[in-house]
Amino acid sequence: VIEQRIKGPQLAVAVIEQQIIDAPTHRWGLVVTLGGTDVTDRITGLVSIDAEESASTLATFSLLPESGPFDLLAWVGQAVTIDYLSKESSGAERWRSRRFTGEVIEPVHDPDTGLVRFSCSNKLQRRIAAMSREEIDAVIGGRWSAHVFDKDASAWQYAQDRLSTRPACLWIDASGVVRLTDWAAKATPDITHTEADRMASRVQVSRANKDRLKNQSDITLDFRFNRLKQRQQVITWRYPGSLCSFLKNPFPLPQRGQIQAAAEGSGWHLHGAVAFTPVWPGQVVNCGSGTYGEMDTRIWALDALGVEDPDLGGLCIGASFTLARRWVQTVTETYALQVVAPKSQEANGVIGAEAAYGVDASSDEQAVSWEQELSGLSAAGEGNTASAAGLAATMPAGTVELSNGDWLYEASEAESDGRAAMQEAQRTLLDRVRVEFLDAHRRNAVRYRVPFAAELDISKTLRLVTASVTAQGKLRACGERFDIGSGDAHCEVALAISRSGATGQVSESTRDPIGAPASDPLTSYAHSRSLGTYLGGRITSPDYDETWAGYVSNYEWDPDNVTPFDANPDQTAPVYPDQFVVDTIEIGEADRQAISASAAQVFQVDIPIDELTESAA
Amino acid sequence: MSASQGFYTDAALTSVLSANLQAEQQSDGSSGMQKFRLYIGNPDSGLKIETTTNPGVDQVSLTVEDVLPASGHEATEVVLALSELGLASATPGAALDLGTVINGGVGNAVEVWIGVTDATGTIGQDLSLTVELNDCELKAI
Repeated sequence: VIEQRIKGPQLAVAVIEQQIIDAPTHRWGLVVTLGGTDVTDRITGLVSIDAEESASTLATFSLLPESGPFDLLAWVGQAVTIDYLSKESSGAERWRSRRFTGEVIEPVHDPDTGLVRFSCSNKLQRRIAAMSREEIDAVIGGRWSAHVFDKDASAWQYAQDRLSTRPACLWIDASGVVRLTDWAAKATPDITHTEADRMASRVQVSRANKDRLKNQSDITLDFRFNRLKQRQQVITWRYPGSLCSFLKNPFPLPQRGQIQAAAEGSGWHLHGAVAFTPVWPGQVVNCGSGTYGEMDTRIWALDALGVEDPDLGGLCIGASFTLARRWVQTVTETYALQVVAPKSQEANGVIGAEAAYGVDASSDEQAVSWEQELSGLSAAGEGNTASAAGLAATMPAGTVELSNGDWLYEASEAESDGRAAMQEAQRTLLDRVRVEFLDAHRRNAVRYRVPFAAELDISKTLRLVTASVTAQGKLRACGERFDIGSGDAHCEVALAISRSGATGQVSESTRDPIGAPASDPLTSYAHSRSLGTYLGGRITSPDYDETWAGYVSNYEWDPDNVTPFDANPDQTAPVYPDQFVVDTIEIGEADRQAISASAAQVFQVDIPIDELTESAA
Repeated sequence: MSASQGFYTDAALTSVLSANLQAEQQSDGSSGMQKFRLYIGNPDSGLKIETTTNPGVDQVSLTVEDVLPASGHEATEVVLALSELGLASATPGAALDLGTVINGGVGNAVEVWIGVTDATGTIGQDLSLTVELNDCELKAI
């Protein structure tokens, strides 16, 4: 048997290669807490913190757990903070900077290394989701319209919707504060990096994908609402003669109730009370001379004792009243909003999209209510039959009198779906499209690596000046890397560079809603009308006409009074039905039919041009 | 100095250490301790490691050797421990006992940790320190 033996020290030898490199003046360190406990001494390897616009900041580190069993799930949700410490070469702390505040989302144990890899997040979405809409409004601002976005959206989606109308990013800073920062790069950069600052990694410049550019958007917005209208007409009737002419040609005076009933049955609403002109009081009246020159003295409504006829109060010789009619006209206003980025179109051609939205403020219930309400307004209009002020008092606030005398209330004032809401929808759409344009054009990026700098965060504008690239833009992403093993601490930065592709600027349009188009064809009509008096029973009386409106009756026949009555009533004389007729004017098709009107406007968006110059060495 | 050998870099004893332990440090000492984890053993369960002298009685141990004593880097810049946490309390330059015998087989490998610091602050490369097993032999059980 041959026993092979291998003897040491060659059995196992590890050569330690020490490479001592020149150290910077200052040293650095980290302080990591987990669940409120300082675990810095157990952290090993690379600690990474990645921040990006409108996203949660993520941190990862590896920890060597204390000996003994542990429960990974117990770490989930525990608070994590990471501080950067600048130290003197002696190790004394110079200053510290909080780099991350968040919580553990996933710990993963590697049995081979014994390490637990912690993935942590500052949970932007959850922070926002816990906010009320008022709090979100205060943080983000921007615009929101139920006619553009989902009114039942979650708080997070609501925040995204508002953010889509602001050229800004939402983020949580290292201390855990929710912040909003405009996309626009500052005119003066916060930090300038030169070749000396840039670490030994190449600068990467990437251009926005032209396929994802957008420089024209055609939006159609329909606004449909009810136009509530009211028309009224003052109707008057009056016996055209004097007491003497009446006594000489008497006829049955109309009953007040007869006129009231006629007014109420006209098909229009009797607006207020009927004002009656009372008949002449009982009297003896001198009506001039008779046929032979004698005094023509006549007695009116007095009996032999000189007592006035008690029935006079039910009669009248004139009446005045106001009739009113309400109706609803549906109006559709169509707004064509074209948003363009001229400079981008000049460089990239037209890259567009179309979208349609609608705001419907019309309501059948509202229409019915408008028409029915009138019947309940008589009391309010009592005594104001012909008063404009009295009429206005019976209508909703905001009702206006049109030039043709109609009254108009545009039922588009509701907060949720009225004209104001439609205009806010316009503003929201305009702002959102502008943000889409700006977003698509700032997807150019410059990436490079610099030594760690505590002042770097998503809010900063950086400028890079090297022999081959000069660029300035807002920081879109920042990855901090702390290698405990090698002592390397650096930041991998990505600048967002806005470019239109062309030079020059355009004057940006004010994004105010388009004015309402004219859409109300007015029909003229008589605001007041007199009804006639039509009396039959004489051969001089014309034939009866069914279209007559007013008082229709017949002269009385009194065989004892030859003069001025006919000696014999001509049996062929027309006899009219005794009636009081109130007719109404027609409300024409132009006033009733659904109408539409449109308006269009072009809005210009200016794409900011951030500096980006590349040159050959 | 010959290349490293005989150590394994993984607990499964599939990867033999074949390169130097690279301990890059900044001259001001700010890099702190550079840590390495290695495994000693043999995948063949029919073999074992014992000391050449008094096998099964004397301790198999790791030692820190300095080929240029009193010059450049010293053995006291290296600490040895059976765990990472143990590095913090290990005596600089002291040997690490691994037991009187290390049986072969993956499950019997011994995990060792090597911590390296710089006490010189002198910029440059140095290969004068090694970590070695004491005089041992690999033999059949």
